[in-house]
Amino acid sequence: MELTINNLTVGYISRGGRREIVRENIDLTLKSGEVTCLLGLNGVGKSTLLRTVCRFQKKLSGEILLDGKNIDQFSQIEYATLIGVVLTDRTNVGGITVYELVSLGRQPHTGFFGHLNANDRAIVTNAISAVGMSDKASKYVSELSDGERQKAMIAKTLAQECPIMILDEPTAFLDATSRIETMILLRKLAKEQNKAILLSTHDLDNALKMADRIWLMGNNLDTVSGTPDELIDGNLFPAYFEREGIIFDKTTKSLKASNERID
Amino acid sequence: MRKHRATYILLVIALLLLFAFNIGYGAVKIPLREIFNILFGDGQSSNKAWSFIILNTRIPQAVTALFGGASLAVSGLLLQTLFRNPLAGPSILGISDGANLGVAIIMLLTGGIGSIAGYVATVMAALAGAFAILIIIILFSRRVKSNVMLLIIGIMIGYIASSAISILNYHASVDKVHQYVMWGMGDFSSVSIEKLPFFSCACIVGLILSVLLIKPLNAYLLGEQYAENLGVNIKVTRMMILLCTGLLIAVVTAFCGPISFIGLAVPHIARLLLGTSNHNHLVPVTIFSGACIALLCNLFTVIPGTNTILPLNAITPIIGAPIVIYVIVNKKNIQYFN
Repeated sequence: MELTINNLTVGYISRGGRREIVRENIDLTLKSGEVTCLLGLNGVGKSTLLRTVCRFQKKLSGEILLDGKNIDQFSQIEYATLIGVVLTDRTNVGGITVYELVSLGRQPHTGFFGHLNANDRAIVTNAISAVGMSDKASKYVSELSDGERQKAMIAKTLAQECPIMILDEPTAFLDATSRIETMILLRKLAKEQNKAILLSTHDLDNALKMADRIWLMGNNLDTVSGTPDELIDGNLFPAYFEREGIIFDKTTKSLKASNERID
Repeated sequence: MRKHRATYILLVIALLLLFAFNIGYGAVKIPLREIFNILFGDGQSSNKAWSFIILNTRIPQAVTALFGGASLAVSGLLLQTLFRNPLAGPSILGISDGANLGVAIIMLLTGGIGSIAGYVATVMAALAGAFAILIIIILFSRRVKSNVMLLIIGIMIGYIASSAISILNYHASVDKVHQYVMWGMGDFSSVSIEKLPFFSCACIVGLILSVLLIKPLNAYLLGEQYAENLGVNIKVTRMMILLCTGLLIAVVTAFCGPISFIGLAVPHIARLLLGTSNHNHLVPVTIFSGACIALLCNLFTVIPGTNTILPLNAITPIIGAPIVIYVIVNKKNIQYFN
């Protein structure tokens, strides 16, 4: 499944009916089997874009197409089977087990009371094993570490059986190891299950190492798309990330202080 | 189901026992054989007063406690899930204050609740008051993201309602004030046999509605955005939850007075019993537990060996407050919200 964004303007409609544009002229394509990282400094509109694609907020103009069909034409239930989300916030569901949490992903597919049949249960079990948490399936969510919670939420999205997964800073509050672990997991899911995965992140190093494609957003700059190497060779990162005293180092593919040492 | 079968069996037995005790025990001592005679025999007893007490007082009171307790408990659960806050409950968010204000307006400004028309007016006023507060809370909940802030707003609105009640009280006649104060103490005995069908039906409608909401309630455990992404229509569900709780709280408050703590404490008891926040079992178990706790509290309103009656609201905090404190202090239980 392919998600296409054409000439999109995202932002808010304020109480007086005035349009507050956060970013405009966005043209992007999200492809199956790829991990795409959305990069940019705070406040450039990454979350606004993701929220708009998830239909949590209305677009101001332009179009978002799923395999050529405008996303506004899908019912809420249909949409729930197409795009699954993982949010930044630490999920405080507490008193349910990992299995029950992942089962919630079946909601768009189940009947009025949410009863799971054998097929649903098999899908839930597979989703848990795909994120490597089979041994923790009967544990309470409150007993999990932050990294495990995010993995459980990713499993929920798998149980939802959406071809597209959108994750808003899923690794923001994770330790260094869990960040890499989550990225490896997402890559694996994109390749093995042919998912289109889009995540926003501030973790430039890992994004450049592991993403198939990068979307770059910046204030007063075009929103651009390309493979990490294309963007580095095109010398695009300085404009989006450098500030006085901070430069982008092409050899290490990371940001650093311009003075070699600050003593 | 299999995992929790023991809990359900235990609750049903407790419910039957407590219901039986409520019929067998009261301020007036009636021999057991006479009670059986009245209930299962020819309906007559050697003592006319005894049959009247059993049939027209104790049975309606027990049924009222059963439905009233179940209703308050489940509305507490729905509010706790909706606001994702363990301390949400009918009285905390000011909803029962709204119902109080509605009742105060009818009782203190008009003739009171003697007639059937008066009763209907009281129930309507309680509904209007409860829904007015609910709507204010909903409006604020759109602007205020933090649940703690929303709770504080609820408490503040409750104070405003209370101050309006004070003004009404200040200018009302002594007998009306007395009537209102007595109503405010909480009482399951105020639903007579004639009014019982209306009361029970209203409660049953609300309870059925709460069971129908189980699936979206489970999605709400993840928070509103995740629920929306799972296909839950947020606006409709929020309305249904608030409508359901508003109906239940308003009906019970109108008839029985503002009963404290059952709505707040019972959902926690149910979570402790089950060890889960999954509404598939939590909703029915909360309904059963609420009925049991209310029947238990109703029993305690009669001091053993005497014919002295205590107000219901003197009993419910004694049972409810320690449970709430236990839940807050005990880390293992706070996990249901963590």
